[in-house]
Amino acid sequence: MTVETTAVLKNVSKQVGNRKIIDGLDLSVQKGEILGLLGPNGAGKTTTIRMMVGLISITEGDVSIHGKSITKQFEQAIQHVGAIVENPEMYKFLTGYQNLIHYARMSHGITKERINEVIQLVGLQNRIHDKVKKYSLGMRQRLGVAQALLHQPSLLILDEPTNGLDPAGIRELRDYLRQLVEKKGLSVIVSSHLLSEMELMCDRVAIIQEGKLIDVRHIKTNESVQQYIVEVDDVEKAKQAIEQLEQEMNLEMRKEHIVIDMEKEHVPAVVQTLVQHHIDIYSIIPATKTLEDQFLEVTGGKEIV
Amino acid sequence: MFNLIKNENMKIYRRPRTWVMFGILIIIILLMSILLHVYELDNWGWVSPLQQYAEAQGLIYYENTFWSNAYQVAGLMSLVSIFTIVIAGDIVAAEFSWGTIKLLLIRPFHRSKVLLSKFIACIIFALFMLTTLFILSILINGILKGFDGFSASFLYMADNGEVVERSMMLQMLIYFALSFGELLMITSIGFMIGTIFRSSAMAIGISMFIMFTGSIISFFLLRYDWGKYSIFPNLELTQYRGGAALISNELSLGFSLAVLAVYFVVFNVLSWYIFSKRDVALS
Repeated sequence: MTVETTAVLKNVSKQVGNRKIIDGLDLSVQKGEILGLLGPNGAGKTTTIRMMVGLISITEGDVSIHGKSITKQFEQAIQHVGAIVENPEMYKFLTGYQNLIHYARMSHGITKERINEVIQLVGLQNRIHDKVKKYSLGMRQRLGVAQALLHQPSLLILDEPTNGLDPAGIRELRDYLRQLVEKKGLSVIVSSHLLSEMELMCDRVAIIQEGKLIDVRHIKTNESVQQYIVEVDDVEKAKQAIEQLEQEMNLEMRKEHIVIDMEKEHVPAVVQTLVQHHIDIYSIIPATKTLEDQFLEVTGGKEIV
Repeated sequence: MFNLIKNENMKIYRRPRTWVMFGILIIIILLMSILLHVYELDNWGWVSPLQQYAEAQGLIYYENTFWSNAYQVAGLMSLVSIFTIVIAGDIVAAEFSWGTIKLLLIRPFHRSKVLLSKFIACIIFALFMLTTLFILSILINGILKGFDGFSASFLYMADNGEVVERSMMLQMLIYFALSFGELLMITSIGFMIGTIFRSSAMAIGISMFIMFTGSIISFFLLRYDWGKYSIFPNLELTQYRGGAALISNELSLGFSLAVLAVYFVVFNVLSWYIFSKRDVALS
């Protein structure tokens, strides 16, 4: 099965003065996936995103979107892209509708029907003819999404889209993005420094630190080996019992529980053994490694945020 | 490209301040016309040589008709300059301060097209205001004083001492064209500073400073040989409306136009270069 790639970053570097802010970034975004850019503040997420949309020049390397170079074929490349860079800044003295008209005129073939469709989609139909200065932040965010989707892009780029949104707004945005990806096969790139949020939103996360790509992780796939925390009455006895199983598993003793690294299939066997040895089991909890743990693991425990 | 200009126009004319500017312009035109009409200067029967000449030739001299006041009110062109500076200095800088520049530059148009559309929108605004000024100054003063003498003549002394006669309507058009040339330069200056510094206040301030101190700086600069090649003595194109420039006999309309053309190209190439190359908010 071949995976369609929407955008490719090839050895992208950005130098300002003597400092390399971004250093040899290689990354690709597949069709129908949400890719997160994660990193501490100042790691280069925003710079990367702005290079992808041509707001910032690229010192070395190139970004291509649907095979068109953003530097050499800007107009062809950017037409596939919808973006919100930081907070969606709109013309406050215009109405929401006039703002959309403004952006619609800058793309080809956007009909009145399409504009209305997008307004319905983001649920702004009741307030669309109000001036944007009367909008709440959440409404501006929705208008921002409408603006980005107007020309039916195949790549959506969101830079810190949840800045300033309340939890309900974040959730709404997240569900909405998921829906778009599933229904329309859109590719999405999101940057954020909020781990928990990225974990919920993304399929893959690229971790950037000091301008370098450190790791790319899949979020949704269950790794075969997982950690289980088993709470028992007698830890010592339990350990001996499990060791008799002669399965390859890593045991770690704690005060009132054992932490076992094992495959899912081995869980029943472990439970059976423990029961046979008359060891009381209070709970077995799969310890999902949070993205935060993984992040700290790869960035060497450096503080985030 | 046409759509881009439409967008820029929408952003200019949907803002209330634009109409406040037009309101102020119209009120001042009205006030000045009425004041000139009510307190008509009495020249104690003194007749200028040009007027004597006109009467000897059997021509209607413009100063005896409504044209006199209309011509003076058209001098409110400096007000139009101020408003044009506000628009031109703001049109690029405001996109940066609003943050909308980020959404504007990620559309399938090269930056040069975006910039050009903004420049054209400024020129359209300048032309719109200038037309309002000239039409209203003719109309209002005509209504106040009567349109008698519509075909009056304008006279001026040419360099060689000969008296040149042309119709007042033509003279107004020449005045209009010279004003427009001046506005074109002022727009370029405001536009350039706004693009380079991304600050409307700076652009408006510096452009107005250049406009108002221009003649003082000119006097100083013209003491040097190279002074006439600086922008200041040449910027005020309307100084040629009645023949030669008063400030220096080394200047002529053709010379000023040539000098200004060079500055025009330099300013706009600079705006274009900086706007196209700039990294948008690398921080």
